[in-house]
Amino acid sequence: MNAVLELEKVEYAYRRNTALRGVSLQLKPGEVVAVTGASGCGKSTLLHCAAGILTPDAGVVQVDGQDLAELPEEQRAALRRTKVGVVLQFGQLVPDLPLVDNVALPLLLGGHERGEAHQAARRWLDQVGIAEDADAVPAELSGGQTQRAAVARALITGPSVVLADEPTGSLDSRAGQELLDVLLEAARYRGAALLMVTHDNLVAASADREIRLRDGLIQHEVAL
Amino acid sequence: MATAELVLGLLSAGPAHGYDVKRGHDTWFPDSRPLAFGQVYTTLGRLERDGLVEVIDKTSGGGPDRTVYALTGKGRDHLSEWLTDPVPPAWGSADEVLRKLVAAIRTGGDAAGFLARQRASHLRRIRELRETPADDDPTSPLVREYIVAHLDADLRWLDSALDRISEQRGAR
Amino acid sequence: MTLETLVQLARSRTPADRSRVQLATAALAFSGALLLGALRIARLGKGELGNDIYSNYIAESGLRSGLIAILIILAALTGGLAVQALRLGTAARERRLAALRLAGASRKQLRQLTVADAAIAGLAGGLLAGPAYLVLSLLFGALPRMARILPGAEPIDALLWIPVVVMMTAAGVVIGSLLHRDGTAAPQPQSASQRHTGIVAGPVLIALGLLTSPYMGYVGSTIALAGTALLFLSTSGLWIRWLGRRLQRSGDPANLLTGVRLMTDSRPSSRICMLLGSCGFLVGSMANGIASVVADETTTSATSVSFYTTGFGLTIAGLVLIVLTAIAALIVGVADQLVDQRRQLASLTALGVDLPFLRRVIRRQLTVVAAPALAAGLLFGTVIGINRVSGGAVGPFDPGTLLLAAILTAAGWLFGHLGAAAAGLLLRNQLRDALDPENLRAA
Repeated sequence: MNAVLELEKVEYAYRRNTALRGVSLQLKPGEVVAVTGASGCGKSTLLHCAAGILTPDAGVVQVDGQDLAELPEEQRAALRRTKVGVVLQFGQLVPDLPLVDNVALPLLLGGHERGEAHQAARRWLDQVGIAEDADAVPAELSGGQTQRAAVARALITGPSVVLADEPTGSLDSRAGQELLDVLLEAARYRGAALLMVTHDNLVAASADREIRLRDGLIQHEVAL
Repeated sequence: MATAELVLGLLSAGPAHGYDVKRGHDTWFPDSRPLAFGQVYTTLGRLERDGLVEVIDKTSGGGPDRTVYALTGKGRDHLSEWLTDPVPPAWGSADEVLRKLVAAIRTGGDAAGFLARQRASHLRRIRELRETPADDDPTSPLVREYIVAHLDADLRWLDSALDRISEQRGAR
Repeated sequence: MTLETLVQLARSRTPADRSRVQLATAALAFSGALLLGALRIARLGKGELGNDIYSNYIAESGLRSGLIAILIILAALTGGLAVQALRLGTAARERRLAALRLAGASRKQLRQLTVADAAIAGLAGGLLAGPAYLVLSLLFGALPRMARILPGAEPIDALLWIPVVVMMTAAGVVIGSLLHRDGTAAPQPQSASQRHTGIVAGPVLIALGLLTSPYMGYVGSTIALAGTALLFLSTSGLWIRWLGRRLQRSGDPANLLTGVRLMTDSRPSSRICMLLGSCGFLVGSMANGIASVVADETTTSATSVSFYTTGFGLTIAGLVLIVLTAIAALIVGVADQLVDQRRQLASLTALGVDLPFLRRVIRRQLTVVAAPALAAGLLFGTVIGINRVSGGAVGPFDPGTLLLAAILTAAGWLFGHLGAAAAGLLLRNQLRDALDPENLRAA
């Protein structure tokens, strides 16, 4: 089976600080993988490289077999929009747009008509359990609600892989567990692979595989 | 409780009197309840009966405190097997994890490997617990959460232990 | 993305964003109105017109072309203000662009959004330019004959309005695409070679302009003005950076903070410095002109005095307007900085940074930019004098000029300080906001 996400010897350095020293991993379709490690080990950087947000200094990032570096910027953005969903810890929704617009954004940016994009967005907001908040702006809602909207947005284009960076990080344990269930369920519903960067053991526990990083390298990899 | 295996670990450095075994334990676990002599000798007796330790010197006329015990080959095998296996995450296993880890480090075993496997085992158990819904009575969910929380706490400590060991290894 | 999506996403929603666009629209409306005025006057043709109906500036064909040129220049300057207004990013806008990028917007799409944002302001400004011109021409109609430099509009002038709308929208598009900051590249600091070029080229252009203006008229004046602007731009950058470094070494925490903020914000500050300096220069040279006209015994006729005074006075009024708006832009820029640095500032409250302290810092930051620029501009302008700039006859040096220069320089310095003090008052809500510990909880 072809990997939906493949990183090969990816390296990345922030000015004087080398965050990734050559990390390779593969994500199979529908797989759930947790990336763990102490702060500063490079796990967030890994996710940002996989999402195409950062360009690695060395190594290859392939999404559905397509090397991101080979594409011009415009097509790379389009690929990310359709094949990769991203959920961050916070701050990812456009603050002054209502949820329905936020969730519809990837479709709108892809050239879909407003009407159909909004319909799809409302369906997804229902799927993640916040249909009644569709017209509210992020500032009016709780962290749990906005994170659910983020999950909806990540999955609306039917990506093959969803990358989540500390998705429960800003939530209390109860809301965090609920969000985790929503995320897993939504990914399963779409058949999307899920890569979660987390320091929360309960999140890691729900994965099929755990990859642990230390100082920019993989320390160990275990099947769960 | 795995006291027997711990004694095997305490003997792995070389033959010793029962008293040395007790002293060794108390040095390894300064914050724990000191090991009782009675328990040491009972354990040693059982281990000898099972062929895991042997008496290599017995001062004539002396009681059990004058006997020198040593690990047998079988005993060494048993010890390394015990160090390899992760502790089944039942209630009260935390102590054994600690003992196992300390013993692994002190005897020069593969502590990092053990920690990785222990972590996986705990995570699997958490997943099991979370995937099967708890019974809908007043206390079962509480018990479930308690176990999960303790497992989580264990895992967090394991994380820091893993970091510390990796640091030590890096420093060396 | 579809046009509907583009417009919908480019729209500003937050109050801070909206006021930014409103400022730009107003500036472009005023600019458009001035352009309409220029076109309206150009429509009058090349021949001489009656002095009894029109102001001399319009009636005499030689002066008419000059008036048209001045109106176009003022329109361009006001357009420059629109640039400043649109340049002002807000933290909310930055967050929004980041969120859009995360949602999968490509760099081209983000650029399209910025351009659309500015183009909408341009379109609105162009549409408002018509009514604005009507209002302005009515206002000018109430002034004495000499001062009526904006003739009334006739229905046929509505045709002139269309190209103005198109021009303003196009201006918006150009401004938007020039201003679009690619998220990955930090604004480039002015390179050393650029600065040195400005310091050398500035005075050279000024000298060149002043020397050729008697022969080449407005061309020479324009060269001189361009040189002034260039000189101010380079020196203000140097001045701000030097001051910033010096303040950063100070033991006083207020100075230290001021120095840091100056260093991080040096490029927009030096641009505004240049604007203030150039305006001060023009005002000073005009004031010199008025003074020499009033003092000159040969031109005592009331019409003559009112002729010159009107011309200069109107120009000065326009320039003062620009100065006020430039100071406002500086203030808004500082307010912006506050928004961006909310978390850092809020975390300083634990160290005893309170509202009065922060007000002192802001005041210092603004004073240090506005006061020297205005004072220096006024000084040079008054001393050099309008006659030299426009290529007219240069009278014998009047010691009264120095007195005037001293007064105006002090006035400029004072004005800068007043503006900064006013800022402390106007921004008090923003300051309080920035220090709010709630900011520590936000992402």
